[in-house]
Amino acid sequence: MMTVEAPAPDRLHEPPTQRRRMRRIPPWLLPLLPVLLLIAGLLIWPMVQALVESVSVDGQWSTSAYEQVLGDAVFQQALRYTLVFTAATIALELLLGFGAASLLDGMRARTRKLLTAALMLPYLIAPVAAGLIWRLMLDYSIGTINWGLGLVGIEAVNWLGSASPAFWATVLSEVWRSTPFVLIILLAGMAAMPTDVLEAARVDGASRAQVFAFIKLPLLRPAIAVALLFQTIFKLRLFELPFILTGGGPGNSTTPLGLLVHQYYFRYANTATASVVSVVLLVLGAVIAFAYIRWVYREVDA
Amino acid sequence: MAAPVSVQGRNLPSWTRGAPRAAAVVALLAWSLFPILWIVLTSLKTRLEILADEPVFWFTPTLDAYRRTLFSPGAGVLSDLLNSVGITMASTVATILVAGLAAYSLARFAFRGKGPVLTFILASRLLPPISAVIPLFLLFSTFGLIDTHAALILVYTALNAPFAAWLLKSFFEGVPKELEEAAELDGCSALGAFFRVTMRLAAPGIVATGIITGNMAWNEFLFAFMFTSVDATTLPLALAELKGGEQIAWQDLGARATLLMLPALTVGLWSQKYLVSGLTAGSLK
Repeated sequence: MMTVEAPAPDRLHEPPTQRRRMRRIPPWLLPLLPVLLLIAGLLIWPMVQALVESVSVDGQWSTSAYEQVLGDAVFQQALRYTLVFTAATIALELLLGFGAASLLDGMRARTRKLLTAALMLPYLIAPVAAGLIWRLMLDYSIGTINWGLGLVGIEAVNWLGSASPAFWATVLSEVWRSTPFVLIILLAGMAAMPTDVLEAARVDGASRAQVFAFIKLPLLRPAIAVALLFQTIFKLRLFELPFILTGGGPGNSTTPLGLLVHQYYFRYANTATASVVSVVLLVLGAVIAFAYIRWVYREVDA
Repeated sequence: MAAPVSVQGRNLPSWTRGAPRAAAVVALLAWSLFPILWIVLTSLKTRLEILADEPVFWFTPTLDAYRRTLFSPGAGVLSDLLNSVGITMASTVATILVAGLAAYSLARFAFRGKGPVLTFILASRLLPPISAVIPLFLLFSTFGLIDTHAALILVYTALNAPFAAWLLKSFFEGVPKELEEAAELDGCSALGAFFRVTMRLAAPGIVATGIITGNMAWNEFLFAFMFTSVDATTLPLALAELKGGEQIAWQDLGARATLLMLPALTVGLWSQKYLVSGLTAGSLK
């Protein structure tokens, strides 16, 4: 009898409804809500909407927009450009970033920090400014690059006016702007390398090349993987750099998929085809995102 | 007799080993810095100096391009600059607030469904924002938000929040929970302990997050280009005007580019340490 009656007086003293409500809303939920709502409303919902728009014509289910876009030579060129540009920039960035990181890694801490600060500056610059800078540098008549080529007896190149040089012009300016990110990630990877392992290998008679190939490179794999994945993700966002540097041309040779979304929508006022291109980008992004997320969880579990 | 030769022999290789390294460092510095220097120099030149047959390295600088860009009526760059400052600051503060709250929850509570929430945040950080642009344009049109500051502040906060939440979470987790519990034993509330202990110790991480999200908002082009036309145009858009045509006013474009780059570079250099820690923690953790 006592045990059943005992809690009764307590309950009378406390406002029961408030207590119950406190228990129903867990403390972790409220602080999380604003971000989840913001992301769901302004990023995820529009992406789903783009998916819906891409398969509906006049409110009817139809894949005609896909047929139209996938058959369009302009789209095929934009897809090809985006993929080749991504491969070329990332290969060059990894090479250059790796070289620079190896160079800086052996230096005294103060020198290394100073040099990192200087080499990082292009990464802080807006892509639109980077495009403008290289448009000036690569100008046919007043550009410093053609002037420099002239000094060593090479004929001036029409960088922005012909297809192949224009492609390399966009690659060059993107590599210039975003290599510092690769440098920073690889430098952090090198700094985290256990020196005793390297020393032990050297004591055991491993050559420099062997230490590099069998110890340093495998230990750097996570850093390289991260740099690779993030840079790939960022290349899909390519928009203003070719827009300002080459205007997407000559012709449409340097028009990335991102710029095509804008063209389909604002030039041809076609929501469905613009949505199809959005979805293509989304699928490409999702594949890379999936790889990265799997990698993150594997690292966490390990 | 043999001794000096061997000393020389040892000195020579070390010198030759140093020289290519030094040359590589100089080349890297030139590659990274010359283009920036060159556009700044161009903004200080006259038209004739820019169009000269050979690049002019030595000249009397003039601020004419800046005067024209900022103060001549109809240029509109001053209002672009002010819009950029306002939108960047507002969205950065909003991002830190919203993402900080989420990071607090993710760093301090274990709950069912945390895994999917983390995946959701990470995925939304990685997917290309351009895929959202057209439905957002329609949404903002419906609510009359096109060409308003609010639209860009909202979009930039949403774009940066996933990254900021991810980063802040890792910084908050770096502060031992025991310190917070000690403060609670001393009479702090749970939230008070978080603000007084964890926030203070994670301050460098919060600065790093703010610098990176601020830089992204300051440099953003795509959404500003699509969502604004007259009233809410930002500074990056000013670099895309005046293009085309035969005669490009490079001194004016140089001035605009310098106005856009200078704050980003100054803040970046000043906070270099935080920036590096934020970029590495943001991707490797």
